[in-house]
Amino acid sequence: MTKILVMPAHKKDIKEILSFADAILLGIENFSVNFTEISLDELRIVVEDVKSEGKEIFLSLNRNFHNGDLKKLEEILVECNKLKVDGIFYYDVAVYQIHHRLMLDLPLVWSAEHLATNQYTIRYWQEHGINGVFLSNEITKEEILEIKKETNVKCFVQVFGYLPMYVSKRHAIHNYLKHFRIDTTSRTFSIWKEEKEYPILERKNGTEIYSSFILNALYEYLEYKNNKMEYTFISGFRIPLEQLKQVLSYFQMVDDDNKEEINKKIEELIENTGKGFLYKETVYQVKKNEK
Amino acid sequence: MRSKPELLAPAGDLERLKIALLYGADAVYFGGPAFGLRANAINFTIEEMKEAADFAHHLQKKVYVTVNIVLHNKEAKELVSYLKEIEKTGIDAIIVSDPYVIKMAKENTNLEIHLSTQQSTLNYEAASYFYQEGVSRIVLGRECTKEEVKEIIEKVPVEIETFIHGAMCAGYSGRCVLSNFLTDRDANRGGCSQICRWDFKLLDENKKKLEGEKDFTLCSKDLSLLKYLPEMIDMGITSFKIEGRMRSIYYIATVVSVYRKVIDRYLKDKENYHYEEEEENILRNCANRDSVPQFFDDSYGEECSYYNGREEISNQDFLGIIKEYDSEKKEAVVEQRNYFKKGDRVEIFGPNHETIFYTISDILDSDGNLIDIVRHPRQIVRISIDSLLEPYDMIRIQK
Repeated sequence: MTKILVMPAHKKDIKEILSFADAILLGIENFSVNFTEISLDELRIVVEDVKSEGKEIFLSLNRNFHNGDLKKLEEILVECNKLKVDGIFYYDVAVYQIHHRLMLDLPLVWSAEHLATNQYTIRYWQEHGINGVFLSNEITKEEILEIKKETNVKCFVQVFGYLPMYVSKRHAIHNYLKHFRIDTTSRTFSIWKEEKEYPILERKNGTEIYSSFILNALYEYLEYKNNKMEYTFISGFRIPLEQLKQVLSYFQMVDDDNKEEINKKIEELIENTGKGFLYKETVYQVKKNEK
Repeated sequence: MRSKPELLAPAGDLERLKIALLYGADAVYFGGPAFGLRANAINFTIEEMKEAADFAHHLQKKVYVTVNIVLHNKEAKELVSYLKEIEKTGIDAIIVSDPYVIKMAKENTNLEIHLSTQQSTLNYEAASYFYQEGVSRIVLGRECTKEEVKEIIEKVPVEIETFIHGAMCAGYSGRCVLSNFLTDRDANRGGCSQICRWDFKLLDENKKKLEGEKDFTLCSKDLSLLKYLPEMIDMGITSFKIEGRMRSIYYIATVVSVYRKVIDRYLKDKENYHYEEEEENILRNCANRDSVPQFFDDSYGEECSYYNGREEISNQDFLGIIKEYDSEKKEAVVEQRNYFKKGDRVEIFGPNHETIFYTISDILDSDGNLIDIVRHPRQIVRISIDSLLEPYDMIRIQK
């Protein structure tokens, strides 16, 4: 069975989307990037809510950690272990190292964003005892399916939502506003270039930028299901709750017979959809350099 | 651990490799024909790799090869044969980012393994993991502060390498794929098109442009840690890395020679060492970008970024390179790199002598005619000069 894993845009929406999801994916305050964050105290309640509905909860502790973060990170992992969270997504190897040292009984998902691009590295982590991998959004559908076929860990792949493109420790918006003495009460921002708008977000620990389009891999979702992909991820980042619920209901009802009709409905509901790199390989050009 | 820190320089090709080593680098790094992260640099062939290793070893120096690309399925299959092939060239280590490459290198070669900054290693737990996996050295992420570097060195018995000079990624290494999305060029596979230097409009929640004098950009100033070098030496950092495989021979010669002098001067007499502003000026003049300590002193705020409209002026300081010196005629053969003329006040610097301050006098073209101006790119001329010069010495304009 292919499960639908959802991240709501706001923590207040968690309960509302539970009925549309098999699992929820959230971040922990100051320990995540690209994910809606909750506090450790809130986690205890959320875990209870999610479990009482018979659903799963995953947490993404996917920041790049500094020495000063490690003690708190250890506390969070121990707490997640106690709460029997269904899995921890990690980017920084520190999470694996602490998990291993404390011998926690907590499933780990290697979630190195743009780096989970081949079956060999995934197998490396598999040999190290991880339970799952969140595949990169910058590989093709063929590569995704090949990796699924050639590995024995649970595969997670995004099928809907904005795609993360950039994480920095710098506070790019704050610095710009400060430098040019611009006053604003705006709570959300985007950057614009060549007729495309990219969501940009600043948190305590830095800046994040997302794709100009919302990935809509509805057709591919069906292929993933046929290939026994364990989890497909839908991100609600910057998608209004009602639209997100509608999209989730479409993913719940889609099959090979109605997929075109459903896809049309999604395209009508959400204007700026795209396929990302599912059918497009990235290149690296070589040009003659100058001395 | 080494008793004396290593000065590690970039080498885009064999000429730059030789310049870097002759000007004082203890080791150089470059990419091979595959699996490197600078598709735009002229990467070394297997034959050139061997020549590079021989050249460096002859000087009791080292060469490291980058194998730090993010692998896709199709190329991963070629990895082991590639590693075996480059091992035969005599290189001293490989620089890798993918743990699978570490595993393959350990199982199939005896190559020393350095962990690339692409892993963004910023803490002692991660450093400890990779040390246990068999890397002998870790190139820390550029976001590390001084205190963090110190703590990692104290807690993990692995060699630590840190960047000291050059361009900065605006984002965490490995976590920026702006280039992939905006230009289809894969940042983690050597195709970065430096979107961080583009300008954007910053919009608020009502899609209204927030009007600054200049547009929004992610662009960061460069890194320079010259001022902190003595402290870094005392911290026990093994290797100081200069960024810039795409940089010119002049840039490499200048930056390497300045850092070489500072390291040697400090180690020779720590008590009486003093920081010389003039050396910072030389670095500033040879680059065309501002440089600051960035994350190292934890001051990565507003002042560390560019806000566009900056002038990136092509550097005209580098006038020429000495090809040979005729001690009987007291003439140097010079290959021109920028316009110069009779009467110009210049500095001639090289790896084996103090800087010579000189006014250009007689200039002869290749036919032996006296000329006043050297205007043609790569033009070969002879200049009269009493001081004994050597091949690879360089001439720059006095400022």
